[in-house]
This record gives sequence, C-alpha cells and structure tokens, in this order.
Amino acid sequence: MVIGSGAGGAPAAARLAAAGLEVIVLEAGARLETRDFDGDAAKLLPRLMKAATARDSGMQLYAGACVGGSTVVNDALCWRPPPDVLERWRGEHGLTGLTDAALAPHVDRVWREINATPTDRAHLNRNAHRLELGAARLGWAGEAMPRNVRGCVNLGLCNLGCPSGAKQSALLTWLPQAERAGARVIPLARAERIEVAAGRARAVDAVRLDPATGAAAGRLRVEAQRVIAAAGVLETPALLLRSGLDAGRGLHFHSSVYVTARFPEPVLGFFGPTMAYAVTEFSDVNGRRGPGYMIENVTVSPSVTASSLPGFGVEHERAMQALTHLARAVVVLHDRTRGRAEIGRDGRPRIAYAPVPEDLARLRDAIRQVAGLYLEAGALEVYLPVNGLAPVRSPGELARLDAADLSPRDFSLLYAVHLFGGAAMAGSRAGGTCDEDGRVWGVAGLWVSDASSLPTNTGVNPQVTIMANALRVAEGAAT
Amino acid sequence: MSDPVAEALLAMDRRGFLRLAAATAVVASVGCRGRAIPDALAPPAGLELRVLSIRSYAAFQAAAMRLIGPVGAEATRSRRVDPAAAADAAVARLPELGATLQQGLWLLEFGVHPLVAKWLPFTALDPPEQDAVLENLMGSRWDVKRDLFQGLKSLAMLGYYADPGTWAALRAPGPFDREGIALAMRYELEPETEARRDPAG
Repeated sequence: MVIGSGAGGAPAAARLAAAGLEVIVLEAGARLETRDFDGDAAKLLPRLMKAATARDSGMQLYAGACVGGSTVVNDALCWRPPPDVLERWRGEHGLTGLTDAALAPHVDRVWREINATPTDRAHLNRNAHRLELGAARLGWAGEAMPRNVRGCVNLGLCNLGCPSGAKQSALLTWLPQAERAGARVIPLARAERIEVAAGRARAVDAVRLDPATGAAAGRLRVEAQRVIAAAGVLETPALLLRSGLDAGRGLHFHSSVYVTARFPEPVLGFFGPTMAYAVTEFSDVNGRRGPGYMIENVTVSPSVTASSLPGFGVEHERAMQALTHLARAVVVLHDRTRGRAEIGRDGRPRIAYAPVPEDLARLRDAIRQVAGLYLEAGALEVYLPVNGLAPVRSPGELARLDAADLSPRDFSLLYAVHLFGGAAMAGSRAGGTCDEDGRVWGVAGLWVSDASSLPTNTGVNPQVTIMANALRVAEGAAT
Repeated sequence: MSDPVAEALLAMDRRGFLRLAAATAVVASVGCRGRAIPDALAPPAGLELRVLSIRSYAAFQAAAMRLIGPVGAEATRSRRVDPAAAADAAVARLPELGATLQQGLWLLEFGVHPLVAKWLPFTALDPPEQDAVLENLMGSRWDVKRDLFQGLKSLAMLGYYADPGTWAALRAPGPFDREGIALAMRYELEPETEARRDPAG
C-alpha cells in the first residue's frame, strides 16, 4: 500500500510493483490526464493543487493535490541532491549511509526515467534572458536548469499540467510503469488512519471522496503487509499523528517571494518554460558559500502575477496592464526556520511555521539583489513584494526597502512550495520519525518515502532528491 | 494604534478575536437589516451559488471591484466578468475554505470596530470608503485582518485574471498563440536592440 502518488509515492509504487508485490496506491486527489489540461486556470487549479496557511505567520503553502501530485504542477526543474546537503544529513542527523555513492544509482535512474535534460537556448524565454542579462552584467554566477521534458513546445503551462504532454510528470512515467507491473491507483481516496497493532502496520482506513464536491462519500479499508506513507508534507505527518505515532517535528521550507520588473521592451513572460534559469551566486549548496538563496525566473501568467503584485486598485491595475512587458523572478530561500506539523481537534493538518529573523533578513537581502539585477538589465521599475512600498526606479530608491518593516504578513505574498520534514529520517529515535531507511521507528511494515522524511531542506528544487530517496526506501521495503 | 482597548484586543488570541468580531458583526447586521444590496452587486439571475450567500456574494464582488482596479471594476459592473461567481466555484470543492470565506465576508460586510472601524455595510460604502477599509485590512497589526485581505485579494485576482476574457486588455494573447510564443523565444541578450515601447508610460 502506497499512500500518495506524487514524487515520493509514484517511484516507490513503481519499484514495489517491479519487485512483484501487489501494490495499491491511494490518492486523495482526482486523476486528470494530458487531454484534460486545457490551460483553464480557474477550472484546473482547484483540481490540481491545495493550499494551506501557516497558522502563526500567514505564510501560504501549496502542494499538488491530484494523481501525480506536485510533479503535475511543478516547473520541471531538476537538480541532483547537493553533496554538501547529504554531508550535513550524515553529520548532523546521523544518516551515515546516505553517501553520494549510495544515492547515485537512484539519482541516475530518476534522471533517466523522467528524462532530465539540459535546457537549451530554444527553451530560454525573454523572461529568463532578463535574469541572465542582469547576472552577466553584474558578474554573478547563473545557469540554465535541467528540466524533465520531452519535446517541450514552450506553451508556458507547466503549472497547469502541460497540455502537450512534454513534461515527464509521474502521470507519464512512474505511475504507468507501476500500473504495467500490476499496481492499482485509486484516486479520490483519502487515507485517514494507519492501523497499528502489536508494533506492526496492519491496514489503512480511508474515505472515498465525491469527485464533484470533495466531500466524504464512503469508507475504504485496505489491509496491507507494507504501508508506505507518501502523502506530502501537508498530509503525511498529520496521517501519522492521527494514527497515534510520533511526527510533526522539524518542518523546513524554502520560503519564497516574487520580484517583478517592468521593461521597455516586450518580455512575453507567459510563454516558454515557466522556469528555466537560476542565479546561483548566493546559493550555499553545491560548493557555493553564499547567504543561501537562489533567484529563478518564473512565469508571468496573469492570475498568479496579479496575486503577488503588491497593493491593489489603480496602481496594481496599472502594473498589470504592462503584463506583456513584465519579467518576474522568485527567491528560493534555504530557510533556517524550523516549524511543526500538527493536527487540529478535527484531525486536519495544521502548520506552525514562523520565519525567524535571520530568514526575514536574508529575504530582504535577496529582494534587494533581484531588484538591483533587474535595474542593471534595463528595467524601468521594479515592484517589491512588500505591501505599501512604491516601485523603485533606481538603485538609490532601494533604501526604502531597508527602512521597511518586514514581518511575514508585510509581504504581498510569502509562500512555499518546497516543503520538507515532519516525519524525518534520523540516526536515532530521539532525532526523528524514521530510521535511515525510512522505516518508522518502532513500527514494522511502515515507511515514509516523501519529502516529509527528508531531515532538512535541500537548497535546490527538490523533485529529483525526493524521487531518488523514494526509490531507495522502496528498495528496502521490497526485500 | 495606541488606545488601551485596542492594545488589549491585540493580545487576544485568534479565536477570541473572531468571537468578538463576529459578535459586533451580528449587532451591526441587526442595525442594517432591510438595507438592500445594490443591484450592481447582486448575483445575476440564474446563477446558482454553491458556497456564498447572496449577501456575501455582494460583499466579495464589491471588494473585488476595488481590489482589481477601475478597468476590472467596469468589466465586473457590466457583467462581462464575474469574480464573485468564480470565487464561489473555486471554493466549492474546499469545504473548510468555504466556511472561512463566508465568515470573513460576513465580517467585512457588517463588521464594525474593531474589525474595520465603520458603521455601514461594506456594500453601502462609497468607493473611497471601501478603499479605506481595504487599506486598513492590508496594513493592520491584527493578523486576522491581514489574512482576510490576502485571502480576498488572491481569490479576486484569480477569479478576474484567470478569465480569458480579461486578457485582451492586458495584450496577453493567451495559451497556444504560436506567433507570441515564437516572439517570446527569440533569443537576444541585449535589450537595447529591441524596439522600445512602454505601455504604461
């Protein structure tokens, strides 16, 4: 039994099915296929994604909520697990077996299966060019990021499932593999509780969900000798807590904000890969020793851009009417904050995550750097992601950012899509929920294979790391 | 905010704040009973609301028209776009969010001090007064008010700008426009070589 069908669940299901085991995948979301991805954001977003709010900071958290999970709505970016992050996991979290060499075969397999390939010039849009241009003029390091696509035709709809079928999400890779080997995927089935008796996982209780309303429409109980929890960080820790198990500690995100700039020339940032180029100058992984953030170009689709621009009304609309000339980047912060996953009295997930002052200071620094980059690249003005701050038109005007209060709710949108922890692997029971092989301490037959099992954030877009770890965990579970 | 009552309120937890704000909203709603919703804000005939009430639909629509800006407000007023109907559809599949949105809109419409420091329903205020209420929510020291602003803004922007009918005003040709894609992917590193055009200038 695999609970969840995203980056942590789908590879595990494929690996277990390939080992000849009878596999059932429970997925709370609906199953949509490439033919359903017509680019209609209003219709698709509620069916593909879910949102949560950190109760103590208002930070917005997003995750995939369909068969294939976040791999269906992500930006197809691929990074190998940074060696310095693995070193930290070994040194600080006791995961002594998680060496580069031990993980490499799994990473290599993921790279092949999802067709992670370098992004060439034909797939860097003008939005990416603006970032590249500013970085080049400032002498900053940057690179085009590999993406898991086959025959991308630059529609700019990666976050809505990819209508051309180019993005090699779990829907097109791991899940068909698993199904060919006999696995059965059950959509619209939300796991409520794992039954544990005499120190062993025995069964999973789930509810069937009405496809039209999402309301409970029946019950489902599946007995299983092996249970792999991979429902994502918003759900896996809550599922374990509802099951009476120890979970919830050590949430770790990549806090993110958007910075938007208006250029004199058309950018047309809503076409082309939604993300493709990263400024790595300020990263603190892969051998870099920066303050710990990356800057990546990101789509300028109308609805998402509107939600993230600061303020409202006349000035906001004026910025939106220049949409064709906007470039946009996202700061991906390697957070130091630690949060906690909890459940409410109703058993539903609750997230506590309040960015620490150090993280807020680094976000301020990152916004300043992105704004400076865009001005260097020729932007007419830069919209800072802080409510109440006017756009800046010269580096000197960035002083108003330094003077601004920056609590989490001062941002026009502070969010995270890279969520980690809450059921982390650790070298000792006191340090986490699972052992180094993803096995829940003290419970036979129960593993965690999604990002909630990772002990820290990765500092890079994480889908490859999550998939490789899921293969590794499933390999152990299959024996 | 410096008065002691407000300081005491700031120290309240979220649940306590919501209880108090809801109580003031109930009192205010009694006082406002019988005040009709303006026609321009009422749901169109035949629209079947799934989550919002008629009153909360109107409150959302009024807020959305101020949040989006004058062009969007006119498009909404003339029924070419319906952000409130889009929001209703979006939250129909999210029962927990739907209940929270209903509560938030009730407070926006009828809330008086300490929520928004006003005495008329939101839908009955003049546009500048509505802007002042929204400014108050956006910049408040109360987390609940800021969260309400963020939620309303996100839903309004999604409801409005996800409608392809709004893209022409942005000169965004939308998905699958081959000419636009080709232009967007034409590689050039030096923007100075581009024809300069400043749409907002």
